[in-house]
Amino acid sequence: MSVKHLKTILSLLILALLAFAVYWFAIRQPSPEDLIKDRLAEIADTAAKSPAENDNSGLLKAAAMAKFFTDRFSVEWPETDRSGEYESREVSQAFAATRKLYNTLRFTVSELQIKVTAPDTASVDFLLSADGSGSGGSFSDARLIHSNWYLVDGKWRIGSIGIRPVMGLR
Amino acid sequence: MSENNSEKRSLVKCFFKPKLDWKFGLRLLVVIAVAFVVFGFFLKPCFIYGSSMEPTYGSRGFTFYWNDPHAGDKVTYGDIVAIRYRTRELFLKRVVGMPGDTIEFIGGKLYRNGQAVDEPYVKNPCVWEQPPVVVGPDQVFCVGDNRSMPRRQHQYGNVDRDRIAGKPIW
Repeated sequence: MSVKHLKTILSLLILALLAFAVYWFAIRQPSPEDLIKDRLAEIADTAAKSPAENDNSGLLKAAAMAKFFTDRFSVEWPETDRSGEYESREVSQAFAATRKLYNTLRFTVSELQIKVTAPDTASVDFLLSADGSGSGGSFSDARLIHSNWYLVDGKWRIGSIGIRPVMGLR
Repeated sequence: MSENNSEKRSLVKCFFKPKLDWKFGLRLLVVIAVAFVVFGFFLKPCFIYGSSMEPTYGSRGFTFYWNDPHAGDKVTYGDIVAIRYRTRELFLKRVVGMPGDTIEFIGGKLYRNGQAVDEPYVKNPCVWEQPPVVVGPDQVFCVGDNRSMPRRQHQYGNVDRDRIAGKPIW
């Protein structure tokens, strides 16, 4: 084998290795859809409450809810009088108050549809099912959620949310 | 005659006490596969809990519905439909309003676009009062047949067409 041939083979080998490295890097990087999916699972996990949970860990979990929302966060919930603009800390307070009412809370996300509209914005639709039990008995409910997400400081956060019933009068 | 009887007896015996050979195993596998496909994807079984469709459907019952992804486009007034609520949970309701209709209840009577609707399937007395609701472009208005239950305990209203899973077969 001549030196010329050897050079060509080595160049091709390096190119192939580079291409493989780029491909590997690209497939190893989670897509925005994957990141949002993981984020939703994290939210559901943080919002959930088990009977074994003590007050301190409950407060910590409620406080941790703030990190999932942008600083100013808008809610459109025509069924209730809760539509409006909130600060992320108000979301934590609302979660803390809600969590106090129940012994157990479980949230399930299904029918997830994620549309990444720009590198740092996405619209996410899903069905949120909630099951819980407390002194007032147990409940089981579901709502259709439309949400807008923004990439802030490298993390996807919810900037606005629209909540409507599966079957409703509005 | 006696030969015929013994053949019948043999058939009955064979049905209830089959010979456990490879042919039987194959038949069993085929039956299981066909049942899995038919009842898992097309003719879906559903248990009925709740009294919102009384007297058409009792508070406990069982039916099948044809699972049709385009069922929402084929429904019309008076159809009973299975509405996807949560994972493995459906609402069974009757379609009373189509896109653009205005639906209201006055003195327990259903009015569609200002006209009283004859509903022979409603047997129980009703006193509902419901201000006019306009049915959205891709929605239908569904309500149960049991209007004697308190309005607030009865899930009814506008439903997205794409949430209609199919029609029950009885």
